[in-house]
Amino acid sequence: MTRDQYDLIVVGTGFASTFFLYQYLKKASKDSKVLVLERGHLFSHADRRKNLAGERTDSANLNPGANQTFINKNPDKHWAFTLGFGGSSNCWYACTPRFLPSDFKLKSLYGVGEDWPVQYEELEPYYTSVERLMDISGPEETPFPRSEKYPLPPHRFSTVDECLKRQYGKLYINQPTARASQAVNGRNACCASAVCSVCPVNAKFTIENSNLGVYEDDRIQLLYGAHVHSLDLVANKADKVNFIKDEREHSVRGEVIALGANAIFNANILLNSDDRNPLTGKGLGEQVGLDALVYLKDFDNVGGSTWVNANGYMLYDGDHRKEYAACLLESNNAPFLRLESGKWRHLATFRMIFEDLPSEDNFVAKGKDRFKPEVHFKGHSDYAQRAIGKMKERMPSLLKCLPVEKIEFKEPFPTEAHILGTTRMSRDEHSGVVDQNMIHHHYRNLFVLGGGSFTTFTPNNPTLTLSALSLMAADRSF
Amino acid sequence: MKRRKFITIAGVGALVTAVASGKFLTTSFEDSAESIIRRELNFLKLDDAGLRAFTKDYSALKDRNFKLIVKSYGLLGVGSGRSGKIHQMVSTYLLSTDFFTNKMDESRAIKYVGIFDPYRRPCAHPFTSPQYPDIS
Repeated sequence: MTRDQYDLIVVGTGFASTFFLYQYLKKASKDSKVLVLERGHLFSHADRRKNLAGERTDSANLNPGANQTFINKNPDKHWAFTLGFGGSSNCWYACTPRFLPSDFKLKSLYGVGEDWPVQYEELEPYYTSVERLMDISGPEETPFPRSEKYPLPPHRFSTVDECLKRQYGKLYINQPTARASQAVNGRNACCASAVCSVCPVNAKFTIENSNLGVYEDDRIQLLYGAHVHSLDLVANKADKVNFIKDEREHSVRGEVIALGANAIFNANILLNSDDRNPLTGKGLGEQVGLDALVYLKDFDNVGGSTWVNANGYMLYDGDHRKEYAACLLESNNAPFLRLESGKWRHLATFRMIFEDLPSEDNFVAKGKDRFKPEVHFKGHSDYAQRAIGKMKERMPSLLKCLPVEKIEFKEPFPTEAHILGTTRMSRDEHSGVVDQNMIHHHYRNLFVLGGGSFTTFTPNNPTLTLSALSLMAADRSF
Repeated sequence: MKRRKFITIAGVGALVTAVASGKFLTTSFEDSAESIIRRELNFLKLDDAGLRAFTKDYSALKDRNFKLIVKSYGLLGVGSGRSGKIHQMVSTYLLSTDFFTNKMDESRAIKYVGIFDPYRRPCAHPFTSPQYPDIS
């Protein structure tokens, strides 16, 4: 660290931080000074891949495992993420559906949850920008409005997908994804290896392979191994960022500060700083998902070209959301088998993902160790649970174009690997923590980025939206 | 009773029985895996040397706990319909052979071509569009 004060200090190097920085750097002066504090270290894609192929690498142990970093008060509920440079871009599956316009106004349309202070129309140009920057592959026709085509052509359907596409039109689409459908920008084309957390052929977008130029910019100083624990909050401003590096305490002043750790650690930093908003840390959550195995009679499920090959919106939007949650269907194209003579691929698998609503029973609290927050999760809402029951009732008729022998529903997964809602976005400080520009209601030079800002938890994967929100926040604020 | 709990209890029961009879100690994971695969795929022609090579390669990738459970299931006769681990092992074996390259021809003897592991052999998914160019 070469200075006592910076124009901007950003905590974290994941999607939220990187897209915020990208837009900030476009607008900031040439002599701006930016400090980025990354808790972990670079564990490169090349080394991750070697490691998974059985070779030892020096960088494999630089970053702690996620479960070592917090106290999970409910061991049945898992929270998955990756530490180190690039954050969870190193483990995401690169699913990038947009939200639907209705997702931003659940309260006014359906009387549940809250409306977001940002609406789809405002976010649309930023969705388009992020899709361009990530080189998203996607279809012509989508259930959400778009101002531009996707940059890359869609991945191809399987035979099961084709059948459902014919039946449901734009409610069944090739999945929009940051797994490249053709070689682009230094990335290879996805070949459906079905282990997307670390893509064996480097087809998915990560911060490391992004070519955004953010961390190469001369205005940025990136500090690895800088573990932020708190901020000095003075009146209506965040003044300093406090962190440990090389076992020594450091404090640095920022004109503007942006927290871009995940929703557990953004909340922990704020709680350690005695944030005076009583909602900070509350409303932690994510979607709930389960697999449906569909056994097919004399029907080969073949073709297709990526892990999550398609998205179905047949159970998603409508008046039912007054009573129970939206459900997004993901068609899975892993190399699964049916171990029966002549029926090897007479099987389809779908993951059914349900939205949820934040509850104050689920929250992050300070732990005894200031670096290790407690994570409390009582359970998913009745709103989500009811939707699971309804989905099971409706699934047979939903798949009527397929020759279904039987459907087997699995137990819900312990996580969808998304962490949402501890610093929710709201119109005022009484119903949330940050405003429509991701600025803390109380501390007006402090941005709190990422999925923690989500007002409600739609069934969609959050990365595209949280990246677009970061772009928008920086664009509107500088 | 939940499936996982049942399988755990069954596994422990099998282990106790097998240990008591001495059979558990004298059977290697590779032997157990081979006999499970033969039982599950008894309608296919498997190449003996290839199957043996597969069980050796597969064993190198699996931890002690996985091997103990699979050995227990092997002795108890638990099949792929009841155990995800058995299903995974048998599926991995088939995906490691030329069975799918030969379009699932059950009349041909199938040969082991190398462990199915995307980090050692990426792009080996046998059902995608490049293998089925007429679809979509």
